[in-house]
Amino acid sequence: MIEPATWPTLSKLLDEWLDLPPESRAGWLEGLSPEYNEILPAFRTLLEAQPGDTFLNTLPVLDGAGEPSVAGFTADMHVGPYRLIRELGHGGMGVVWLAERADGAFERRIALKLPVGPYVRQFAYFARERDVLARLVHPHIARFYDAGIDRGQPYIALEYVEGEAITAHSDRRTADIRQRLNLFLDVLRAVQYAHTSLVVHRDLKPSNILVTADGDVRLLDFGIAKPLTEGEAQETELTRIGGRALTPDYASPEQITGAPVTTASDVYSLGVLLYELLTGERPYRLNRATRGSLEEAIVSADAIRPSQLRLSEDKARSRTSTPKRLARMLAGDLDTIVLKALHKQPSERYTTADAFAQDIERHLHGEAVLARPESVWYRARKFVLRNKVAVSAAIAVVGALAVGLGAALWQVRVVRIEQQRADTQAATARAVTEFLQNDLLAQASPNMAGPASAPDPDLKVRTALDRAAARIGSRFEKQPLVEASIRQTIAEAYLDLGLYAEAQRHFERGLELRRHALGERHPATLEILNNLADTYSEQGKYQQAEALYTAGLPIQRQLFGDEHPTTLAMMSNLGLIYRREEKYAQAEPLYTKVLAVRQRMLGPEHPDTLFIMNNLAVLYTAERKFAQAEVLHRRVVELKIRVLGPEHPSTLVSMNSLAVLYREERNYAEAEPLLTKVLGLRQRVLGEQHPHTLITMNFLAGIYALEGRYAEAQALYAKVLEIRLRVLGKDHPDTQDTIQKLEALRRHTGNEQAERAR
Amino acid sequence: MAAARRGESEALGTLFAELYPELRRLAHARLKHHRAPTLLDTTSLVHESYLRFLRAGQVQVSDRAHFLAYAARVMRSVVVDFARESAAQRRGGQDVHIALDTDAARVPAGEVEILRVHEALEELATISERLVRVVEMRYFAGMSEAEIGEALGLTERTVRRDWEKARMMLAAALKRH
Repeated sequence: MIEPATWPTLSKLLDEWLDLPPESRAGWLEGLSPEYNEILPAFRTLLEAQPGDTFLNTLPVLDGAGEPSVAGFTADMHVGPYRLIRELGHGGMGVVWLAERADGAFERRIALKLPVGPYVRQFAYFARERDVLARLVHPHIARFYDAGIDRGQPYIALEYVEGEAITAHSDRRTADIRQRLNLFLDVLRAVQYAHTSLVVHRDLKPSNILVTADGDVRLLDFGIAKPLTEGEAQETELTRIGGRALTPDYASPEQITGAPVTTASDVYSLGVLLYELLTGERPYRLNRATRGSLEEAIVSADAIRPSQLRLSEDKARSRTSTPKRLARMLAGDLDTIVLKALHKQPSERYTTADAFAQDIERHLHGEAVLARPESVWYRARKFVLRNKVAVSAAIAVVGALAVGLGAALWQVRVVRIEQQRADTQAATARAVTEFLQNDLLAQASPNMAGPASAPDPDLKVRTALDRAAARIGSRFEKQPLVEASIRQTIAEAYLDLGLYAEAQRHFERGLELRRHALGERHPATLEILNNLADTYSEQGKYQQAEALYTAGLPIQRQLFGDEHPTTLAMMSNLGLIYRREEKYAQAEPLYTKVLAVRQRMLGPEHPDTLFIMNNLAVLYTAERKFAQAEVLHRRVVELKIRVLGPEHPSTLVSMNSLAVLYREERNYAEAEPLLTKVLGLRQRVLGEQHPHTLITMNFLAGIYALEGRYAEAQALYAKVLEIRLRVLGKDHPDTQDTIQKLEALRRHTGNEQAERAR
Repeated sequence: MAAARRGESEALGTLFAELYPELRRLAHARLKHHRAPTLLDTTSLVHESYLRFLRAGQVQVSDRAHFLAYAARVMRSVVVDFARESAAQRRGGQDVHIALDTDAARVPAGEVEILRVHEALEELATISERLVRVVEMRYFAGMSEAEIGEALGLTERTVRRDWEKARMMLAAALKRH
């Protein structure tokens, strides 16, 4: 081994040696100056190595031992916490393997996506979006479980779905138009759910929309297409691994041109899908079946009306129809609906999947659909937009044409609402931010306050909120959605401060505004409705809360499905109100339903599952269904001890509730040791003076009294009273409660002593 | 890539993380395609990956030389991992350490050479980082002397000289073991 310090000298000698013709080298070496004596042995070793001309000339032959799969993955290989079982398929972005947890933590098999190539960079996306995607829980959406990187290899764990593409499924079953529409409605509901969770699919196509053997629709790859398709345009014949070309068949015009992709892009892809479900054809007739001409058509050609396609006998037969009948069924509403979804301009499509679904439902129910064919009026309006110079003249034209169509006002309104929707979301966010910065935060910020109004660093949040609220006034008369969002923000801040009356006022106004501007059936309306109901509930205004929840719940279910986390939370909240109102019979089915869903979706040990389980047990106790209550309560306590720990405050709450049950059952022998334990833990964990500690102490004293252990009861009550007097004061209801209990106990024992003395 | 040129190891790590699976995949695809033991054309793999990253906008045309230098380092890891894997699989799944003397007969010469060169390069790195770069680009990535010179800012003659020196050093090291 050569000493690094000697390398510069060695290197210099090597240079000289290599420069010499081979025959002179030996002589040169002999005549070397003695100053090199020290490194000469090392130098000679190097020279003696005498690498042949071919040494390291080429990399040796390697063989692909072990038959690696496309991207070098093999069965039993571990990727992250998963073990690969078999390859399910591969495509441009990578490989998909069936896999399972290597540690056996879960039995379920999953689909493991293994992206390869330049997608690795986009993978940072998953680190950010993982939580959002994991919360995407819907019966028609394949679950996203997990994502990570193992030794440079990204992986995405998804629910494994066995099924058939929706189009193939429908054809095989010779589903008629109505059946196909109903199946498609399920797809729309799932997409709507994802969109309200702010997740766009971007790659909706039949191979991503499967129907299981049970006939359930399942959407795959929600939210993961975004980062993955970004690199796809760069795929080339040279580097593509699977050889499967990525066709833009379902891509929207903005995806082809590179314009921003939004939820409207999914609406477009769904339009292509609906087109295909109904007709078995694609929307554009191409001169040449090349990718280029397809892209051109998507961007600029008009889609053929479904009813005007000359459909073959075969296609009609697989729809249980004939070409003529099919054309008649498609003409009119369905033509209009499909073409609206396929509009080149995103803002002219259905603004939401829900609006799309509603129109299909209207059609199925024989009602008039909202979508309008591209009327003369519509084209005139476009003309106005294109020729703004001649606006005033054109408006007269528009007016005349619209009146001529006989539905002028109604149409104007529809168009105006859609226009608003298209541009208000971003505008609202901007206006809200501006208001909060200029009217709320600026009050306390030295950077933001103008010279006229000196900032006040000691400003109380409450005061700032009050002032900001006062400034809303009628400033937003023409922007009801902006006002609603501002009021919502202010109300939430009040809520944090525990100022319920103020919060209520702003939530109420916000709800009114959104109901008016967006209607009842809108996620934003529902959101503020929930806020308000919670606020009522906190104030003990159960009737008002109940009214709101019962009004909102059916809409919530329709929009988001029965198993959406918010749906479950609403049911749980409504259940709590029923319980408080002692409407136990109404509370119970809500609780049992929520519990069942959460057990299935979140697992039996999830905190949310345990929460509802606890509440159901408490409800059973209130209903005096002691047997059921006890089974459930014991189970809750057991699970909480295991999952949360024996001293977790939530565990203690459930133990306390179990003791209540024992008391109701007059099972003091069980209640007393349990409470003693809870008390000990609370004293240690929460402290002697914590309200919860005192509640348990008070409770235990009561049990002593019931057991006839009056001296112990009295001593404990006295202790509670001493602390409450000190901490809460004499007039506090809790203090008064203890005083009364103590007096009752004294009277009782006094009476007993008197009896005995007699 | 601009950051990588400024020499931040983090940027280098990022590029490495992206290149590694890419080259590995390309190499596997190539080997699988041939089935029989194959000369891995690492030269074209490295150039392909460059084009791919170029199209993806992840490198600039002006970064080509630097990209190829990094790609060569990555290629070395990929090739070494290959050699380890195929040697390990032949020996029933055990990990291969480089004490190959006893098992040399059972492991094809190519794998032995690769693994031993790799190990010798780790020694060489303590003496001259530049020679290691040259070997990586020449031996593992099959780059031309002109390309290597461009990447390292050296004349072709110096590259040729470095390569000769490195071969001597490596030959000596391989004999020693």
